[in-house]
Parts: sequence; structure tokens; C-alpha cells
Amino acid sequence: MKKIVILLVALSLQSCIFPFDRGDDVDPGSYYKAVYMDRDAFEASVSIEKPGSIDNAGKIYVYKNYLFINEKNKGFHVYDNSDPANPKAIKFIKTPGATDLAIKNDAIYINQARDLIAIKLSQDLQSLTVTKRVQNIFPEMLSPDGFNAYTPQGKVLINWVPK
Amino acid sequence: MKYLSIIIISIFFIGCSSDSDSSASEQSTGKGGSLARFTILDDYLYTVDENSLNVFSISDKNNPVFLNEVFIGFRIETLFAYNNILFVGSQSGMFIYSLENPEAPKKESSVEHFTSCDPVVTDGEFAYVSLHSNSNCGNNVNLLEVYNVTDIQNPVLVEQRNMASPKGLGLYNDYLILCDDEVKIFDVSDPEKMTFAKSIDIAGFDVIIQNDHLIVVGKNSLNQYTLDPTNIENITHLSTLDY
Repeated sequence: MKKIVILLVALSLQSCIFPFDRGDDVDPGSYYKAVYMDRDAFEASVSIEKPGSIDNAGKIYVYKNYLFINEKNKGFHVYDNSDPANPKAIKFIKTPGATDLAIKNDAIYINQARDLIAIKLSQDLQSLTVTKRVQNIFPEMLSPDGFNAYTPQGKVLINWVPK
Repeated sequence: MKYLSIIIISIFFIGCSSDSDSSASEQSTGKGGSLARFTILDDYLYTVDENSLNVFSISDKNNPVFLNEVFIGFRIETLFAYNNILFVGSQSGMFIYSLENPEAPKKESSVEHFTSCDPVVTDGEFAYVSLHSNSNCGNNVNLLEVYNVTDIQNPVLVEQRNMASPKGLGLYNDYLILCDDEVKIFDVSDPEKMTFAKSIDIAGFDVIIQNDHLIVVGKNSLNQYTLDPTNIENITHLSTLDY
């Protein structure tokens, strides 16, 4: 028992001295915990879905008559905004880990967590293709309060949620 | 000075119309708000992340190719392109990069300030930086700063105003539209003596302005308006999307 206590004290001291050192998945000092996906599932998750509710609105982007509203670290709500008096939700592009996009000539570029992906929507907007994935080109996102995660091998950090 | 701004504004409009006129050139690029971290110029996609500015070639549009990474600093927040100049907002300042070689952005200057979050927009002559502190970035700095950036190697602070909690911003002709505690519109025909013109009682964190169309995105709603270029007081509300 004594040894365990000493060990625990040592561990807690260590986390004081090295605030960025690892806990289980994140430093205990953060108010947030990391959310991970297996890389295979993460890459396979990019898809086009029915429109859903906006829960945590991020940045917006306009392209032609479309309006894109980021659902923070989840994907993009797509609105038909040809009549700005009556924008209509038409699709949701599911891209876990994404916050930003840019579009040129119908090619959509997205930061999906650490990857840059290029996607192409079918003419009828019913399906999409990931035409390119540049892996691990971006740094892992920090927690909202500025901590690093210690991501296990084969996992991708896609979000931070309050503990 | 007035002529210069007219020229700059006309260039700005030519830039806009060539962007949106997809039928003529078959080229079509979208538009983000001032908080964007991605921007497209010609055949290049520029992105900023926590520390760096990245360059991708998109000449083969479905096959972006990573070309270069330029280290900037820490807590990089936003990226705004004007002509061939990139304005990077970070929590520690504004950085200006030129793109003589579009694949190798060159740092021309930077201005450092207190820690705060700061998007930046510019008309090429003046840059408007909103500095907003919250729990994550700095304390008690809520300012709008105006820099003269005609010499990109030597930005000069010409005006500074206290705000409530300024966030995203955009330019509309002679006006600056700023998301503060509510949306505030300033006459910046003389940026060194900017004056308040009009407010819209709505909370937002960023704007996109395209021609006379204003989109305000907020935490709980997205609002759209039509602006009147002959009378800034005349703002027509088009829709509210609540969420």
C-alpha cells in the first residue's frame, strides 16, 4: 500500500512538473478529453448524409448558390441558398475532425483532423468520392484549453469534449 | 488618396465578379469568412494550422499536392488573401506574406501585440484586425486595430478602438462590418477617423459579404441581409435560420 501511495504521489508530482506529459489519453490538467477514431474507420467515415440539425455551428463558406456551415469537428451542413430569404437544408457532408473547407471548380478541400482531403460530389449530390487524402499533413488539434493529446498508434484524434 | 481607394475598390470588385462569374471563364472559387484557415489563389490552396502556413498545388483539382510548409509561429488563427498577399492572424500578431513565388510565401513583416484572437481583413491599403480575448487567449484585450499596409514591409498602426468582444469582420465598399456584441457597421472612408454608422441587433461571430449580400453566422442563428450601396442605413433582412 505504501508503495502505491508513493507511486501515486510521484506520478502526480510528475504531472505537475511536466504538465504536457501523458496521462491516459490526455493531461489531467485539461478540462477536456480527446475523442478518437480508428484510422480505417476515420477514413471510411467520409460520406454524404441527409441534412441534420445544427448543434455547434462553426465557420461558413459560400460557393455558387450553396452555403456550407461547419458542424465543429463533425462535418458540413449544405444549404441551397439560391433564395437567401429561404435557405433550404439539402445535405450533410460527414467528415469527423473537420473545421475548414475551400472549394474551386466543384473540388472541395477539407481539413479532416490531421489529413487534407479532396472530395467530389456526384451531380445529383447523392454520393461523394474522396479523390485524394494527404495523411498527417496538419498537426493534431489542441484541446480548447491548450493541451496536447497522446494519441495511441492507429488512432486519429477527431474532437475534444468536456470531461 | 481617394483615387487610390477607388482604384483599389474597383480592383476588388473586378476580383469579385471574376470569381462569381463562372460561365465566362469556367473558373469558380467560393468565399469564406474572416475566420477561415483555408484560402484558394489561382492554382494553389493555402492553409494555416497551429504553427504553419502550408501550400498545396490544385492545378489537378482532384489531386491536391503538398508543396511547402512555412513556419510562422504559435496559435495561428486565420488566413486572408488579398491579391497576392496573405494576411495571417495569430494570437500573437498579424503576419504578412507576399507570393511573388506562389509556392514559397515570403514573410514581409509582422506586428506583435498582446495575446488575443485576431482575424484580419484588408482592402490592400488598410488592414483591420479585431483582437478579442476570451478564456483561452489573453486577458482583457478587446480592440479593433487599423493598420496602414500600403508598405507591406512596414505596417503602421493608425487607429485603435475599444470594443466589447470583436470577432469576425468584413469590408463592404467604404464600410467595415464587425461582429461585436452586436453587428456594428463603421464608415471607414477615412480609416484613421472611422465613425459608427449603423448596427444590427444580432449576435454573430463571422460575416461573409458578397456584392450586396450579407451573411452573419452566430452561435444560435444564421441571418441574411441585403445591403444598399447608396444608403447603409437601409438594410433588408432576408431570413433567419435558427438552430
